[in-house]
This record gives sequence, structure tokens and C-alpha cells, in this order.
Amino acid sequence: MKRNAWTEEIRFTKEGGHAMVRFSIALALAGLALLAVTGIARAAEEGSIELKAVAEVEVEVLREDGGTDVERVKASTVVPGDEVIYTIYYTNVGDKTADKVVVTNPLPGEMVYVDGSATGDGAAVTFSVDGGKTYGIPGDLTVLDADGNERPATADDYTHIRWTFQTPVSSGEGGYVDFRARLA
Amino acid sequence: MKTRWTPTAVVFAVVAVLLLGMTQAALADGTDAGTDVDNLATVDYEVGGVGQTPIESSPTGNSTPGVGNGTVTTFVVDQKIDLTVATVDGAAVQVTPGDNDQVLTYTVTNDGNEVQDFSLTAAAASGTWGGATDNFDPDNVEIYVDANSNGTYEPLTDTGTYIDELAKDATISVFIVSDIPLTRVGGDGALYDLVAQVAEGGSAASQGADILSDDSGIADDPATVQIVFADAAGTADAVSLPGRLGRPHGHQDVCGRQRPDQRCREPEGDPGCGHPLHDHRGE
Repeated sequence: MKRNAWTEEIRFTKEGGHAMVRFSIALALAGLALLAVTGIARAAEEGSIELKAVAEVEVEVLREDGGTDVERVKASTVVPGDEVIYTIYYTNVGDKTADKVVVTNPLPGEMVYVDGSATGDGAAVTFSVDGGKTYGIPGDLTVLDADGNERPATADDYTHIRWTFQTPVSSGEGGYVDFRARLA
Repeated sequence: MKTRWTPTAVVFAVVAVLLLGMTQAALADGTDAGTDVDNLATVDYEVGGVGQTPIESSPTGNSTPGVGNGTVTTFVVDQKIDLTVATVDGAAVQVTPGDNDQVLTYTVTNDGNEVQDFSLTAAAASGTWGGATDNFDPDNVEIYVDANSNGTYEPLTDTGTYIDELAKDATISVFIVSDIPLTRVGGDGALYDLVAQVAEGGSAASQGADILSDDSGIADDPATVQIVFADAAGTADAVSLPGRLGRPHGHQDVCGRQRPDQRCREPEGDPGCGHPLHDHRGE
């Protein structure tokens, strides 16, 4: 088909004014063919869960009565010491129930986890202090100090946060997990 | 929050000027301005008992499985403007009428997260401390930056008049240097503030323009470095310090012909200054 289109284009070029019109049609046909192929491929790759991560900060907004409200806005003005709220939204966009759902979020290298801030309805929250190799609850985690001695881990030591859902996520169901971290 | 104006009290008195140090803890290292902070979450799950390819997050939502099909949620670290000015002299600097090149020493610390220049101003202050009052201004007041980081004013070495390319969390000494008029008498005092103003850095041996505006109120753009003042006072820093202007009674003691690097720490004189001299002009 493509070959024919090019052949037509050359022929019409010789004939003058209609050439460009014909050429456009030929390209359009080729484009439709490509789109169709792409569409099939994407459908095959579709997963069952859509994952969306947002980063926000809290700002004080002045009310008309002179008071202030705290609102969340997209994180854009952030300097060291500021706290950022990360929220990960999940939705089962497939037609089957998703089991054993686990959301994992490596902490960005510049961020320090705010102790006690991770939440997630129906999920057990665990942390890693070894780059995601193993996970545990805060009281069970240890790290080695400069002298090689084991000490209890603190929020500063966390490298990953993990939410392990206790129940399946049905088709169409969704929710979010979140945590706070401070820019070092 | 920090006090933005750190006055350095320079009291040039026949007996003394006192600068009380007001120090503020510098912040720990901050992430450099302009750094991209990226976040990417991943979900693992099973369908019908079969493990599925993990799916990465994106700012708008991603459901295409596989590593690399997600998109990081990101913001850029903005430029934090913050500084501290403090005095080094632990007490009034005692001077003698007619002495030249008398020195008050301060430090300026870059508490922000980017290399900055700082423009410097010596501001004549007023006030009372220790029963004496600021009542004169010395002559030929100049400001010099400690070029070799030894904390001591050296006229042939310390010739810079602004702070050039001060790294984040770095501290440098600054000297207010002046001459004491011969006409002053014991008990006279002069109080000076050092005002440091954050200026654009990034160009060595060239004084950057003062940074006077805060971009916090400008429409947010996660991909742009914005200038953010660490507190409401802006970009200049000074701390009000009391200055010892003279002894409240009796004869005025004068520290004997001290050199700039040999200041009395106390108005009464201390071992470093030798025995105080009696200044008859103060009577």
C-alpha cells in the first residue's frame, strides 16, 4: 500500500497542481494503518492497576475573615527544610480482582522520611534501611554505626517505604497511600 | 526564624566598643538549588494467583506494566536565601584617640543552598550600653573581607570590599576598619552595624547584583529555580548588639596603643592588652 502511494505521488507530481492533494491522502492512509497497529499493541500491554504519584506542599492561605487555612498545592516552591507530602493513588482499572497488592516507594535521595507519617487504609506499612532488600516495622530495624555496632534505625535511615494490602483490590476499586518527607 | 539585621556594634571609644556576639546556628547542609528531586512508586500484584509485571507510577497515572513505562513525579529545589551575621569581638574594643585602622571583626555565614556574593555596609548605629552612649562616628570607615581566612585584618592582604562566591554553609570574617579622631575623649563611644546583603553568586571576582525579591508569590513552576527568602526579613542580615561605650564613672581607661589584632576584651583592660593607660583627656 505504501509503495503504491509513493508511486501515485510521483506520477501526480508530474501532472501538476493535484499532486500535493493526492500525496496527503496517501500519507493519511499510511498513518491510519500505523495507528491501528499501535492500538492493538497497547491493549495487550495494559495492566490492571493505574498508579499515580503526586508531590504536594502545605501553604497557608488567608481567608476573607483574616484567618488562615492550610491548603495543599503542587510541590514547586521547595527549599531545604521544607516538608513534601507524597500521595500515591491506585486504581484497579482491569476487569479482575488484584491480589497481594504491594506499593513500594523508594525515598528520593534528597528527602528524609518524616517519622510516623506514612498511612494507607487496609495496608501494613513497613520500611527498608538496606536499599529495599529487606523490610520491617520501625522497632525491628537496625543499622550499623560508624564503628560497626548495631543500633536501632531511625527515620533518617529509611530508604524505602512499602504498603502491603491485606485484602484484594476489586475491579474499579481504588484508594491512596501517602507519606511525608523533608528536603535535606 | 532568624533576625535579619545583625548589627555589629563597633564602639570606638576612648575606652571601648563592645560587640556582643549573637550567634545563630547555621543550618546543616542543604540540597543544592536546581537539584531535581524525583519520586517513583511501583505496584506489584497478582491476578488469579499469577504474578503480574510491576507497574510504575506517573504524575498523571500509569497502567502500562514494565520498568521504564512510568514517569517520575519531580520538583526542582529552589534557591534559599538565608544568612547570619555575628560579631567576633567578645567585648568592647578599646581604642585611643588618634589611632588608625582600628578593627571590629564580624562573621558572615551563607545559610542558603547556593554560592552567593554578599555586599557589605557599615551602618553607624546609636544606642546605649553599659551606661555610656554612642556619641561619635570614627573617620575613614571601611570594610574588608578576610582574604586568607585567618580571622585577622591584614591591610595588604584583606583588600576585598564584598564577599565573593561564599559557598553554602561557609563562614567568612569581615572587618570594619576606621580611624579614631584625636578629638575624642575617654568615655566616648561609637556603635556600628555590619549589614550583609545577599547578592547573585556564580561569577568569581565579580560582584553580583543584590537579590532583593522573593519569588514565592510568583506562579509556581516545579521545573524552575525560584528565589525563596528563609524568613520575612529578606536578604540582609544584622543583629542589634549592645555596645560598651565607656565606663560609667571614674577615669576612663584606655588600652595602650593597641594594634588592630590586639584588642582589649574588657573595658578595664585585660592581660592581652597590658595595663590600661590613664587617659587624661578623658577627665
